[in-house]
Amino acid sequence: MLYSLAIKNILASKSRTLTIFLLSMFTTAFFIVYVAFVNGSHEQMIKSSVEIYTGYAHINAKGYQEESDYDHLIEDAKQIETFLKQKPFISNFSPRFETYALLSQKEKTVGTMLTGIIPSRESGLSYLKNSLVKGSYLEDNDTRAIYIGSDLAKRLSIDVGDEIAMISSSLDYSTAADLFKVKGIFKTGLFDFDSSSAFVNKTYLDSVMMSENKASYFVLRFIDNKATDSYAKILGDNLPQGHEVLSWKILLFDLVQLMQVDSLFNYISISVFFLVIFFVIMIFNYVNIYSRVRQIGLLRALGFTPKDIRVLLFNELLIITLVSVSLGTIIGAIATYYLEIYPITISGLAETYKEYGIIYDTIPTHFDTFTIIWNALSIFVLNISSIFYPIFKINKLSVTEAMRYV
Amino acid sequence: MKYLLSFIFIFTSFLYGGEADDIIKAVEDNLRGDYMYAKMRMIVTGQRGERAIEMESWSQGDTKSFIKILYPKKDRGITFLKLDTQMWQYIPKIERTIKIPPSMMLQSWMGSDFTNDDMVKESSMIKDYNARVLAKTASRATIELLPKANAAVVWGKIIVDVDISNKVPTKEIYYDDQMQKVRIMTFSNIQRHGNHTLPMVMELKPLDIEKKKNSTKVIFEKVNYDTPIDASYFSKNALKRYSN
Amino acid sequence: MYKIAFDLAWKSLIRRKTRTLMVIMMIALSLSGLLFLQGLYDGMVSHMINTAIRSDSGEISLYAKQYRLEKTIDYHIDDPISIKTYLDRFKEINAYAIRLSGEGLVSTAHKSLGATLKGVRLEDERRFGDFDTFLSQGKFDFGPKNQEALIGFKLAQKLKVTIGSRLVFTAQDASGEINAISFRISGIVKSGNLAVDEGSVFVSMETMERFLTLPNSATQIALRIKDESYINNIQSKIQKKFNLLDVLRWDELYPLLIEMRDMMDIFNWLSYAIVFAVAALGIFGVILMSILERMREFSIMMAIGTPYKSIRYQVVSEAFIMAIIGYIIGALLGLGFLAYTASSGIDLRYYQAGLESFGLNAILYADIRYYYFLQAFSAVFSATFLSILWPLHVLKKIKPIEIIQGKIL
Repeated sequence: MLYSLAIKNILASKSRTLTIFLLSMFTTAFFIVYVAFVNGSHEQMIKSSVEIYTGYAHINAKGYQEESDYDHLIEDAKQIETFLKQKPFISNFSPRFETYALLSQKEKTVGTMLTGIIPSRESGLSYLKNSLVKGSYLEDNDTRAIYIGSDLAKRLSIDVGDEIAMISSSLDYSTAADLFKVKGIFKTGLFDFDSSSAFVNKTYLDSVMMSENKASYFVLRFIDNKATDSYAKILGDNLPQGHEVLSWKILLFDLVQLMQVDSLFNYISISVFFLVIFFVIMIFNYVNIYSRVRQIGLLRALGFTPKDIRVLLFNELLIITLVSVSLGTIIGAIATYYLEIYPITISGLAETYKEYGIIYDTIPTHFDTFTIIWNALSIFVLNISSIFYPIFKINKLSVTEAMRYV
Repeated sequence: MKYLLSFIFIFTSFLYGGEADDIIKAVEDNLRGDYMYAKMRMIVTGQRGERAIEMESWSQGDTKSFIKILYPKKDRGITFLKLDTQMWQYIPKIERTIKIPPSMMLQSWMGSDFTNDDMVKESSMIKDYNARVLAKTASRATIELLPKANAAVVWGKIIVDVDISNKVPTKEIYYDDQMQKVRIMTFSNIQRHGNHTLPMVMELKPLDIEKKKNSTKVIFEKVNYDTPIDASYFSKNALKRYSN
Repeated sequence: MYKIAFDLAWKSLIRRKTRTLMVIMMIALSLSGLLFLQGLYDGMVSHMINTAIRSDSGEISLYAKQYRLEKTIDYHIDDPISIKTYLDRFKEINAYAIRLSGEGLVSTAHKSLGATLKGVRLEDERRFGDFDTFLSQGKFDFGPKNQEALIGFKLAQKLKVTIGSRLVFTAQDASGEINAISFRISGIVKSGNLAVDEGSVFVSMETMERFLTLPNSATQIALRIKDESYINNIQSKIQKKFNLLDVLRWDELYPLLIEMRDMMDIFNWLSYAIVFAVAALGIFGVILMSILERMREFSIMMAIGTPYKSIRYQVVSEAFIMAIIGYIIGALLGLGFLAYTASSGIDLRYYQAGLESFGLNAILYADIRYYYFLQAFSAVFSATFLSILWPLHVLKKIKPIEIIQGKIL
């Protein structure tokens, strides 16, 4: 009977019901989208920074991070290739050979990082191919072709088609020297990278550097990059001796820490927002229940016990809240998903972050089922718990006080 | 390589305690205007095994030297020119001459344990260090070299063991600023050439744990003093001209 | 008439204590949270701007044209002394710093790294930007014979050197010769400016002039102009006089910092808007509800002659009394948070590595500016105003007779 009375009450006072309903629905939806915004920005920052060049994980010889020299190379690249090929959770991987070289054009000589890559495999692992601005990207059978950063091209005053001398040391420390033709110029937007990086087809570079079957490290990408940590652990446990696995969290450690600080601030922002929502819901439910104090008094006079009152009001609220929060969640989820695919772009942002090596020009959202459900649940709980205090107070009134409440 | 040789001569001067200044001056005068031609073999041992380089060098005084690589075939014809504190390199494979920028100066020279900087900085030992005799017997002496206040050298200290009768060093230990040993140079196979006594074999060993297997050994195969060397060797044209 | 209305407003609020308190708490707590965040974010940005100005550019910097692109000493300023004499004329210039920098290699027996050697005058730097406060270890001087050096802390870490360590710096001097100089480290500097901390070594101007064989030259002349309003004026005057030089303001040299500041402002504005839009809902709920339940009461008042305006005034007062009390409490709380953070700061040293690598301080200090409270006041005011519009409309529509007769409730 209480249940049907609850429904009747709900339908009877439509405006009241509607108010609570709309309030719950909108706060839920809004909250979900807001949290998604906040989390989304980090996702985007990380994705960009990691995917431009660094990659989600590296496999290198132990000690390479401290001393990145010829004494700490992967000595048998084939062995690592075979090892990695067997792992189904790795979606792409490729070896890189990085070295320091002088690039010289007429009078200007500049020291840069020169890297041998496998162009076809690299395109699935970094933005090198996408960052092309002039000329063309490398191919797997290229020989004397070099792919350089835009600011490096500026420093050397060279353009596509120009010839440039490369001098470095090969693995046995003899002089490695060759003439390369600029095949393409790229621009990632990261000044440090664009002003001191040059790329060559690894197969050819190996012949010049005598680094066949050697690599500085392998760069990896996983089928689910969010699970990088667990994959890294699996790899680490099984790697051939003398090698190690480093996830992007270690490689880009500084970025990770900055994200954490940013998260702290975001949580404070969310807390403030949540606080306001908390009060608004409390106020609304309090006020609503109080506005029915006479009706409740009447029910008490008819024989309802305080417990009955509690159950009745609880049921009313439960029904309304369930429906409204669910609807709100759906709306919020759809909005989040839509914004994840079509994010809002702000142009000024990009330049700011590029200086710090981060590509970030949109305000994206992050669609995460867990977070969404968690958010919805909190609003739900908030709604439900907010009636206890007013009910408690009303039940303390005597029947006659309640019926004649002013 | 003139650097190493002038180094030796400076030590002979320290053997004469208080008359060190006079001796140094005599040695310097002796070195100045000197010509030297040498053919030598450098064996570099590293993590990846052994590698041998054969080269010829021509030098005039402390400031000019010209080096040509003879072997291995891959590097044959590479030439270096040093004039004062600047160094150039010519690579026949790409027919280019480059000036070695400061950023390359501390890269190793030809993969050895010597740096470009070692090659370039010559006979500044007298200018840069104060000498003190630590121990002395009839035939040996140990001398401590501490850098002078303004000397632009990275070493915190160098300890030299000297063979007094032959007037040559037998061992040099290089220390960093924290007085940790960084590298050791040993000298052997002493021979006489005209008025000079010279160790024909020098070996440099870095003491870094990481570089356990590394060493660089220089063996002089032919040495000639005092035959004047044509000035053309010490110009930038020489780099290409004398490359083959 | 209005006094009675006002009294009634107070009494109504007190009668419904819980409701009133909830609204006040809502306003107060959210306000203090927003103020706190705003102060903190602003503090971060102004710290970065301040650091850049103090440790490098000042409010205005002068460079030889092309220097900023090429960064070689070929592009230097001749005779900075005469420029200084000209600048002394301006009372608005509080301090200046003349610097001579060269890029090269800094090395120990074990390692060498690229770095910039900067010739400075320490007393000038102290006056210019309290550079001595950046000192984290050692002494703020170049030793008795002016032959020691200060080094950025990150560079010191990478080279594994400390106070008393010896370093050799190699670079090309004015004639193209490669020159080398050695010095001992007398102090380690932590400025928050990445270029300084990761790649700079400071020596005395005299030493630098000798090293580069460039007497009476500079690569940069930086000026402090503490009063912002004079900056543009002075910049154009100096540029006109020395048209062979680049005369640039700090925001032209660090456009990123301005962007960051603008971004923070947008973020703050958005936060206020969102939070107070929701808060307005709360106020709306309470006010509307209180009107609805007092319909009978108001009807009787109007029937006995109370002017509608008086009742309206009462309702409006109720809303604004809550708002103002909420504002005062919120502002005081916020001020408390900000004052504490502005002096003691928030300790984020756990994240030191990451923060410092982006040039932020590990201990965050908040800014406090008077306009925070103005902004907060207008937010509360607007929210309250908007939230009572509809309830007042409902109030206006009251038909007293019908309510008394019980026809409408």
